[in-house]
Formats: sequence, structure tokens, C-alpha cells
Amino acid sequence: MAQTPVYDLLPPIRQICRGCHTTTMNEAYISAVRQFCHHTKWFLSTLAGTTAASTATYNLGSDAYSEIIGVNAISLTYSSSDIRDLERLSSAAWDPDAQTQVPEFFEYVPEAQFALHPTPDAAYPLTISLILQPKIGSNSIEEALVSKWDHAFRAGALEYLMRIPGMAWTDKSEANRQFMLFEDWKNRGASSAAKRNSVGVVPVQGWAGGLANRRPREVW
Amino acid sequence: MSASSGFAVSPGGGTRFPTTADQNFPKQIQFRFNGVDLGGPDATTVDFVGAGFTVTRGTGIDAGKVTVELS
Repeated sequence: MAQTPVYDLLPPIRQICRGCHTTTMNEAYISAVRQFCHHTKWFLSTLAGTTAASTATYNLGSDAYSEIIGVNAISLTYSSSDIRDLERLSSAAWDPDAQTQVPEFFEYVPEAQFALHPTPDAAYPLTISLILQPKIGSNSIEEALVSKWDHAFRAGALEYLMRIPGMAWTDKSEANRQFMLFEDWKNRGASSAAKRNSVGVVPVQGWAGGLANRRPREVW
Repeated sequence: MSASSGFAVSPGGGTRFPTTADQNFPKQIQFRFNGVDLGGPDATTVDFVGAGFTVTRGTGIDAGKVTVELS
């Protein structure tokens, strides 16, 4: 995936928080992106894989920049003309005595694993839609996230920085305003994700000040 | 969006999920006297009585170990 260095995204924040250490701004930005991704489930990535006969659980590996926080969907190719979407279902409802056969259900298993039910009876190609967020300490962000939600991340980062006590840029009132903007952006992200793939959080209605229905104002 | 290069699917093992409990679960120690079972699994204390026994509780890495010596 194309990545954008966080350092390249900091100048608008640096203009407001003059003198703030780059490491602190980087942490504030990544923290905002992680909050956004966790709330909205907007950041997805597809991954191809294959089942193994008589194997119920699968590992999804790891990445240098992102971490998996869920599985959005899985489709299984039974034949070239028969591609099936597996249904998300809690393993509490799975029949422990079921025989191996073509899987119908899946469940995400933290961290970065998933399980299939019934246990596959053969090797079937899978396409897995992963829900991601940047890792703590990451120094770059997926380009698709930045191009669409950069203003949201700025609001989240500014809120974080302006709440740090005793700094030249500390401003609790402005931090509260940035918090409301960030909340609004997160609701927009959740709405966008919900419309795209019916996964995500329903936007808050009637939230304080009705900001969920207003276009966020920007200070930069 | 395409897949990150770091992610990959690999079998994690296990023919069943979630894993089922052992059929013999829960397991407990059966206490006997000269081969005779002293009763159900609800005993919470084993009391060695008499001068013939020396019973010590381990320390450090042996903290979970009880040693019974019969003189």
C-alpha cells in the first residue's frame, strides 16, 4: 500500500503548535488516526488466502505499519462460478460436533486470527477484507486515509496537543472545539464506512450542538 | 485498497474452534489410604498426622512443591 510519511503531514499542526517536538506531533497524529480507524472501521484492506483441510483457525500475519483490528468479510471460492460470502457468527453458536465441510461462518479471533465453521474439508481460495489501524509508533500512514480524512486527523492531533498542560500552545477551549470537530469527522467516517460495506457505527443523532449534521469548520 | 505486503494467511492449527474441554475435565487428585479411595473431589486439606512424617513446603522456585518424608 502507498504510504505517506507522517512528517509530511505535520506543517499545518506545527504552524499552530510552534515549538512542539516532532515526536510529540507524530504521536498526536498517529493517535488521532488510530482513534478514527477504531471508531469508523473505515480502513480496509483485502487479502487472498486458502483454507487447509481439517484446519479451523488461521493466522493473518503482521505488517510494519498497520495492525489488524477485525475482519470485515470473507468470501470463499467453491468453484469459478460459485463464490460464497461467509456469514459472521459468534463461535458460541457453532456446533462442536459438526463434520468437516464447506465453511459457512467465520469469526475474528484477536489478535489477527480468524476461525471458520464448519471446519473446511478441503483447500478453498479465500478473499478476506481486513479492518486495519496504524501501529503505535508508526511513522507513515496509508495514502487513501490521508487523502480523504487528513482534516479529521489534524483536528484529533490538535485536540491532543492543546490539552498538554503548561505549553505555549495549550488552549483548553480550543482543544474542546477540536474535540467536537474530531467527533464530527469520526461520525462522518463511520457513516461513509456503513454506506460502503454496511459495517461501522451509525452516526450519532442529536449529539450535543447538533454537530453531526453540520460541516466542520477548519482553523487552518 | 490492496493488501499490505506483511499480511498473509497461514493455518493456525486446530481441527475445531473453539477448542472443546477435555472429557475428563475437571481433573483432581484422588486421595487413598492403603489403596482405598478416601472420597470425592471436594477435599481441600490433606493432614499428615504422626511423628513418622516430615512434611515441608518448598521455597523459591520450589514454592509450589510439598515434600513428604516418611522416617
